[in-house]
Amino acid sequence: MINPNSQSASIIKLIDILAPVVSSREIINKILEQQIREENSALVVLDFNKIEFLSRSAAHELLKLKEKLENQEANKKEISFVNMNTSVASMIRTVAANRAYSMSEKIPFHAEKVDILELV
Amino acid sequence: MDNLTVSVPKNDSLKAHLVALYLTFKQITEGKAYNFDLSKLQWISPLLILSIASYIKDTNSEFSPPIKQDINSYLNTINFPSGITSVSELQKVKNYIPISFLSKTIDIRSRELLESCFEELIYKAVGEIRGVKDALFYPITELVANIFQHSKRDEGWLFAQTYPKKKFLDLCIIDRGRGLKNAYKEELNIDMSDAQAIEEAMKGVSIKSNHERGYGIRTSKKLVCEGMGGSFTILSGNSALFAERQEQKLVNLDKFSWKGVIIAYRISFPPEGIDITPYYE
Repeated sequence: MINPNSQSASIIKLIDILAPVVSSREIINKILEQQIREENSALVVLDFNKIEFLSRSAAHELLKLKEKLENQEANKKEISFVNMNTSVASMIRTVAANRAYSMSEKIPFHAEKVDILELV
Repeated sequence: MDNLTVSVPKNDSLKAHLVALYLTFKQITEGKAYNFDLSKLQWISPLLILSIASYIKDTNSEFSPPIKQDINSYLNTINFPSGITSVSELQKVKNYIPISFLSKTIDIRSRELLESCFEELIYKAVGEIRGVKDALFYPITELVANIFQHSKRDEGWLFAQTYPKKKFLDLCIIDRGRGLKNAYKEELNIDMSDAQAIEEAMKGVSIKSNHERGYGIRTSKKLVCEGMGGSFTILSGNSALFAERQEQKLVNLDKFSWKGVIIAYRISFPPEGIDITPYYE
């Protein structure tokens, strides 16, 4: 467990490098990953203050990035999250649960087949 | 340049606008430039007008403006057909939502800031109801992310319109990339029809071949139709899915082919405190 107030932890204010609504995988695996790698400290705290919404895709990419950085041999980083609003926290929890136990079966899909001019 | 008359929707439903889109674009030879004749248009919907805007921009086509002065003035207001490309332009906007042109050629953060601004405008337009941001933002973020992940094109178009008296929101997202069928072919080497590709996308089959992927389109449709009682359509090539509550129709678009993917949906303004977390997967 990281103490975010620890003097050795680096704090990244996400609002300064991302956007209030974090949407894409790309912004996580390019902008954020680069920023984390540039931090000297092995303990990195991601501060979600003023981040209003995190998309499912971005949450998935963020959790993958956290796992990758925590498990790499060299320049290992331990990542923690602070100041998440309830929306962001819900999304992170849901995606983390899905990562731990994802559905492997195909979802059934049924639709009636029609011609476009039968629609109206 | 050949003239192409834009079909007038029979009513203001999403279905009617899908049919008008079909009747308009089934006349074209893909990639050829046309003059889109908008003169008879009586009202504007994101599905129809964004499709035309994206085609015009992609093919250097032109258009003849609507005869109705208020419609013509509205088209100017929303920056038809080019759209807005920067946060600074979008920040000047107060009382309407313009067409947004999202390009991969600008840096990622600027694009995300532009998308954030667009989403904030929608939130304001529906009346800044407490607790509805998640319901509004979830489908937009997933569907826009999908465009940039899968289309293999650097551009996407985004447009929304609110109807304050009827209290509903129409939104449309478009790319003119490779389409669903080609994405499955190129990434997974699976041959299928456009209709089958839509079915696979709705089953959550990701081109990334990963059980943790493939949620974006399916969960967005589920949230729009089941969570918010709305209607949803996704169109690629010569097929479309139209979904409304529990009803789903896989629609054959004879003598028609859209290069890329069009997604549009209509929802009522979400009620205060709506909880969409049951739709998260």
